[in-house]
Amino acid sequence: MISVKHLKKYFPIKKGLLQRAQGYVKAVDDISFSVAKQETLGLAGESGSGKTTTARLILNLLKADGGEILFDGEDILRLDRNKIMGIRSKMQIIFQDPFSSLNPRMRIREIIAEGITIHRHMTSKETDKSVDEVLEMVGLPSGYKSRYPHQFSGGERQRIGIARAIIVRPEFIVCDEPVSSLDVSIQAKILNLLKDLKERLKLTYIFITHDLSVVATICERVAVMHNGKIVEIGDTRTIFTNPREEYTRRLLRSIPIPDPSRRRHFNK
Amino acid sequence: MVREIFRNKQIVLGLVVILFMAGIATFAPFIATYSPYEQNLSPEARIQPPSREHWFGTDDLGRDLFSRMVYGARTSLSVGFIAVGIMLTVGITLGVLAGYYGGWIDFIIMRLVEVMMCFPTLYLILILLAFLGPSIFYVMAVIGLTSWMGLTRFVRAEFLSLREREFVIAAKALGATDLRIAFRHILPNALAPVFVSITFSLGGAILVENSLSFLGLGVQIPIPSWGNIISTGRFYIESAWWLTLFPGLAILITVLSFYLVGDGLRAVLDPRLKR
Repeated sequence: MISVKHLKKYFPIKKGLLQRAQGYVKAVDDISFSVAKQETLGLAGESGSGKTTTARLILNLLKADGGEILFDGEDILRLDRNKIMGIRSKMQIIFQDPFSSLNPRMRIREIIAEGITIHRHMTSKETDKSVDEVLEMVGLPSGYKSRYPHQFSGGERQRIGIARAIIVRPEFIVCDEPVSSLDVSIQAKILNLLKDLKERLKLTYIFITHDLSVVATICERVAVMHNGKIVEIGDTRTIFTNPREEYTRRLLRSIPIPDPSRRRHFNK
Repeated sequence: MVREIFRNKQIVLGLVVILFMAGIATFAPFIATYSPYEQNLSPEARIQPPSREHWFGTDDLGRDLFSRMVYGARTSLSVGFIAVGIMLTVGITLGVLAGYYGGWIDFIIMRLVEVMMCFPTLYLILILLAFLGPSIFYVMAVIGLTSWMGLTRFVRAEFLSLREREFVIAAKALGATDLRIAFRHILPNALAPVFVSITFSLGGAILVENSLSFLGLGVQIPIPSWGNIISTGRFYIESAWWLTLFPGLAILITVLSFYLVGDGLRAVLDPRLKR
């Protein structure tokens, strides 16, 4: 469904009065991978390894410096404005920080309905119905609609963010560390919700995380990134049991395992 | 937030005075006891001290000072509001452009801000008005067009920090247009400093208008303005104190109220200033 080929993004380091580029940070340095329909690909790696940049390139939120991104066979880096608008509703994003990802001055109803307001022309009754529908899908009561984001907890806000993404009926969602800033008990609930939605809406995910234990629970395949490159990609189980790269091994060793029985689960 | 604003005594006091002044300006014809233009040149009518017929006394042409001051409130407040309206339009537009698009647009706008800020504002206004000729419309336009720079900087700074926030990126991912992102998502979150700036600017604009009218480059006689009333009154300051005292107090009270509101708002909106 998505196939990334030789994708590059270099950020110039500007210095001096004339702001001339003194060198480049190779945030994403010639990476290639593909994601099949209804698959979840994990993007793992430490902060600064280029995971988020990759995601934002795929969503066309940043301009790539090279390579191509095929979405259903179409190179989205070379689409005109109108086509990009069309493709925007097919790909969505869920963010890490549930506190900065919702506009504090908008009511929940407006936040969730924004995608509809932009893409489809609906009467306010129909909009209301769709908002209720997605609220139900993410497990929130429809009575929340007239409240403001600051009235909710982190987990609830994350659900609101998910509702905002799925209301436009996307086929593909980038989850950018969606559970990293949540309590462990809430992490599990949000992960389950994401799994359910994947089944129900036939979604494809790219799941960004620095936490390999999260990868183990949700991803079928995983790509490990380091310094803007993919160092290893493959089946989650294969990589967990038999990592080829030293960097992957180091990441795996960094997972804290409070329960020895879980270690056995990976080693099966 | 709204409750906090109305709990602040400074703001409430300022607002009450401003509303009072605005009321006087709006209903001037009903409040004024005489026509502000009607002269009476007989010696017993000119330069009379405050009395029951003429509450604030009369001026050198035998006009009722109270009525002239009531109409003067109209002049001062309307110049203030229109000048600030111009300032807001220019200041916010340029600030949004600079902060949202960055790059060379930002570069040009910020250099323009710096150039404008190099000139001491009052002298710049004086020079411009000396060229254009005195007129109440030029006064409004010139005050508005020479005072937007601070606001532009505020708005730009807010935009720079807000445009990287995730809710803005989310809106972009949903396909929102630049206009929608700038005005629906970022601006409402950047308004707190704008409100503070509006109140201070209103006070400042009224002060500048009265200074200009005092110097003879602002509102022209016979149209009454507190500034030009003081300007005439200064010739009689030793014998007729009321011609300078009352309009002077009016300017002081009005400008002070705007500053009280501005200062109070800043304290409420900026949590760092809270004790």
